[in-house]
Amino acid sequence: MTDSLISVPGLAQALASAQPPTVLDVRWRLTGPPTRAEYEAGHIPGAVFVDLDTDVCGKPGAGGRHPLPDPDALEEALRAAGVRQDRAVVAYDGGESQAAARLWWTLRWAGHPRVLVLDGGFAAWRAGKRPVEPGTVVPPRGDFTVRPGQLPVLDAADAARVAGTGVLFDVRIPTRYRGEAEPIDPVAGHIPGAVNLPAGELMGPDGHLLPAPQLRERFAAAGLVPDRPVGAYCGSGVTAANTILALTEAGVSEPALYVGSWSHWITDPTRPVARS
Amino acid sequence: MSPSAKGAAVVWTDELLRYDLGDHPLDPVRIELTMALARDLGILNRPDVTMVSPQPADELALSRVHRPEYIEAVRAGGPGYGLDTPDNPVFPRMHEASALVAGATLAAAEEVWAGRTRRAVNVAGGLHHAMPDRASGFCVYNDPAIAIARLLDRGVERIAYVDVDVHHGDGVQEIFYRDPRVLTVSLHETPLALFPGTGFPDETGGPGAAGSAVNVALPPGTGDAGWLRAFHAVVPSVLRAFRPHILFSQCGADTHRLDPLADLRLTVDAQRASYLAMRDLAEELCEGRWVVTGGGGYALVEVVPRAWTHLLAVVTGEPLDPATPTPDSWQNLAHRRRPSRDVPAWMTDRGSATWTAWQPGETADAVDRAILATRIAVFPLLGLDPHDPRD
Repeated sequence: MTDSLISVPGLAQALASAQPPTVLDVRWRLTGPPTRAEYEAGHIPGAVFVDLDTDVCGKPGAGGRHPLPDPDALEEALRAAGVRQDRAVVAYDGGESQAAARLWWTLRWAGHPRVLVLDGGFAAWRAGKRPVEPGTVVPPRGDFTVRPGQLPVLDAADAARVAGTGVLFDVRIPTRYRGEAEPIDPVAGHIPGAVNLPAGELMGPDGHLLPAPQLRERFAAAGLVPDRPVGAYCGSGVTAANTILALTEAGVSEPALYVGSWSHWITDPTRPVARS
Repeated sequence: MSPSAKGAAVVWTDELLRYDLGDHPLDPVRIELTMALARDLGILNRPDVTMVSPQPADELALSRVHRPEYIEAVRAGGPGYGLDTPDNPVFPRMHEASALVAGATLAAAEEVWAGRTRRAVNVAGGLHHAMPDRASGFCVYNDPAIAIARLLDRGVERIAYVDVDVHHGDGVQEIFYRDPRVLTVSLHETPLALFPGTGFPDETGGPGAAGSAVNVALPPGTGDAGWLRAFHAVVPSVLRAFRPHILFSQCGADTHRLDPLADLRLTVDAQRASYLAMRDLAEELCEGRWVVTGGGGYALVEVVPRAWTHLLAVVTGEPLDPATPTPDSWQNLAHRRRPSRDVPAWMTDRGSATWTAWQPGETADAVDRAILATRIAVFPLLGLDPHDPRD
């Protein structure tokens, strides 16, 4: 397969090997009952639950709704989840590959050498009739050391610059990009110069990420130019992590995540807002 | 009938998406997006929700409502019997897919009848136009009628069927027109303007069943306040007079202002209010027993998933705050399925869902005239006073 994704059969095989990966369950929802209960009801055997909001991201506030985590807090959460330096990590969510992509991104940002997202997530695992187990896994403590900053990150000024010199993808749906509807943030619109490439367009009808050649076509059609800077943002840097994953799969080097995304851009009312 | 229970059953299998009429307004993507939205908002994972996987309705259940020669024609893929027409094209495994929809509504009814859950819902159901001997209006087998017939056979003495689809619930009315055990109530756009051309106020039940059919024929353009006023001027009174043991609701979402096939002007906020009102009537009159289906609804991305996600929330517990955003994961799926449509960002249309109670003597308004026509036609048959606003 690829460098960032693992298939359901691939994971099943890896779990049966002498060096099984650390599997992290990061199912997440914006609203509704806590997903930890769903993890406890049934998860991939051996998987440890991590909470996207409290374990993977910092506290919401001036940095946006899902800012970068404090490195020490992240290290503690990952060690508690059993993450080891010398052991591959597989992240999965319900199947939308957003929370899992953000965890993938965060682990790589923190310097983990081998992180994979389960393609199709828990839905694909179940559809493949693979075993699930209930309860909570308490793993042996891990030894992973967080070395933050191993992936490129954009702040607001960087995002504006990338929009001018390269391409900055706004991966929200068109109505939010155009500023016609903004359900969460108090201001609607987009960063001037950003190009709309909704994250849904990077997936096939089955919910799996498109193959690399098709991804390259999509990105090129949306204005990606080789050797120019490329970045992505969404509402709060979760969905856009999936776009960074797709860019990586497509072989694009150094795609940068605007972690704060729109929820951060609008915290300063002097920043320009485009609507169209 | 068992004492009513707690909790709710949601009947579902992805196989229900095979009721797929091809290049046709009734596209199963609306059900797929409904279940995805409900899942992404955590509604299907609420405590006290039981997911029930249905079996197809068998020949015996289907033939309780449909003629054997019609069922045979469906199996054979037409022609005749309303099949192989623009409204009802023949599609692969039509009998199997249609029998599964009926089986899903049957399963919902059985859950409630047996007291396993208090309420049950099949969003893929509500094919209310199907007639005993023919397909009609996108509907092959009449799943509400099949389920109601089962409840009657189980010994339920009185069942109220309330149909808020924009089209008249003609098939269900026709099937039980002479049966005093079933009260059919339908609010719809006037048959003068819209399919199927029935549902006038003077259709009030056949011989031996006077007052068992109630029809509110609303003028084109009726909005939230008028629709809710009409609902509250008719439905609670006739239900209280009838005293049903089970409430059955057909919740077509095509009353919405964005629906491409009809001309009412509701918001999802008024649709949500109607679901709450029906839930409250089931609580008041039926010890909570409530069997619910979807129905029509052709704004596939913009309306149906939100309306029926509100419905699923009302059936399974706390209603959703209308100000809830639609989750990014769902927005992405909806955009992927229908890139040219505007994906809604909120669960609300910012409709107020407020209304003023009907009062006699105000006949200037077309909605009020429609209300009065229904009350005059049917209220006396149920021992109610058409001119007394307390009735």
